Amino acid sequence: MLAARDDLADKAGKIAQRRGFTLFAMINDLLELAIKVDNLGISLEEAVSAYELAREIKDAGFTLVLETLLYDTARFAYEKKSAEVLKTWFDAGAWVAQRYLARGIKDPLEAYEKELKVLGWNIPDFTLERSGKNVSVRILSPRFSESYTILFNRYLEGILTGAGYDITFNEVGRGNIRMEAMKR
Amino acid sequence: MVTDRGKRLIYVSEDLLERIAKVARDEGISLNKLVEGALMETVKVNELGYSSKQMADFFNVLQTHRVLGGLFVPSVVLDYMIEKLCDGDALYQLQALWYESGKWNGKYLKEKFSDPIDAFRHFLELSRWDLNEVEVKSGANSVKVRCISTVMSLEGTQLLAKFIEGVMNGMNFKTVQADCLKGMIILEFKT
Repeated sequence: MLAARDDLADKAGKIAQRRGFTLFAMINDLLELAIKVDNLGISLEEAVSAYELAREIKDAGFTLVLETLLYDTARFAYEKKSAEVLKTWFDAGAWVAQRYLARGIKDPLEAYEKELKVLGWNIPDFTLERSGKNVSVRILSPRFSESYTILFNRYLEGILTGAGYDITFNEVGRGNIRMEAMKR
Repeated sequence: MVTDRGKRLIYVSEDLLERIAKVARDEGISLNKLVEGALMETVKVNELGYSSKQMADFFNVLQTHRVLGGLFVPSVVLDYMIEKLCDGDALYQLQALWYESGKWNGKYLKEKFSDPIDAFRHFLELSRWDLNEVEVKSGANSVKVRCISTVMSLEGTQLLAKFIEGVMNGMNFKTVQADCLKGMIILEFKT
């Protein structure tokens, strides 16, 4: 047996009852989950935050798609009509920033940074630095294809523009994006 | 359960104890702290309107996507690229790529999960949020897959159908029926 705070055990007991489980079954399920996420290298608390974030992303109209398929699709689309597909990615980025603002989030860039750190596992290196009204963004991802890097760069531009920044510097190479912007 | 001065003793199955003790050690906290943390997260997840079962299923899918290289993309961008920009030869080539990717995924699911069909159903339900209905029925020697979406384009539906076919073929099932209309996929497979 393990000891737990009385108030927490009470609340959890009520939840279990409402869901038709015993507290024993529910706690054991939860501990199984804690073990599972520990194997992924994260704590249960981090897992709950990631889950919450993933549900928000779902509600915001995102799809979970296999990376290689996205890169292939992006390549075909970009080769065919680059201007149109670039505009779609830019608009999607601007929409993401606007969604954050509409939800009362004062700093959409910070929210996006959090989102990328938790769920952007195809981007091993993402840095966002601030200095007064200026921001500097750097993305390094050896997995990005050339066309996907160009499209993702436009997406990032959309986010910054939507968040109220003007782009002052931009450098793009396969898997490598550097962008600087100034708050309007 | 035994109550004592604001604390309550809760039963935990013995086989779990060893494993959660390891988790507590990894995180550098006491067992009691870990259990309390778990209870707090239960309350939080419940307040958000979800269950720990949904979370566990979701993390299975998320882990599969991590291994296979999945990522989140705005649906509007994916749909636009597929629907408006990929036609003719490009669409055929994409269908072949989605099929091959599906086959690879099918082999992975078969190796990784004791019930790969059920794992695939979860995979579809939890990662393809543009699907309104997902039905995967296993018979004695057959599997029927039915997906319905009110928002998917014909091209998007065709690509997903090829992916599903690839997954099932990757699990060594043979295609015996393949019907694909805008937003509707009906596939049947036999061993």
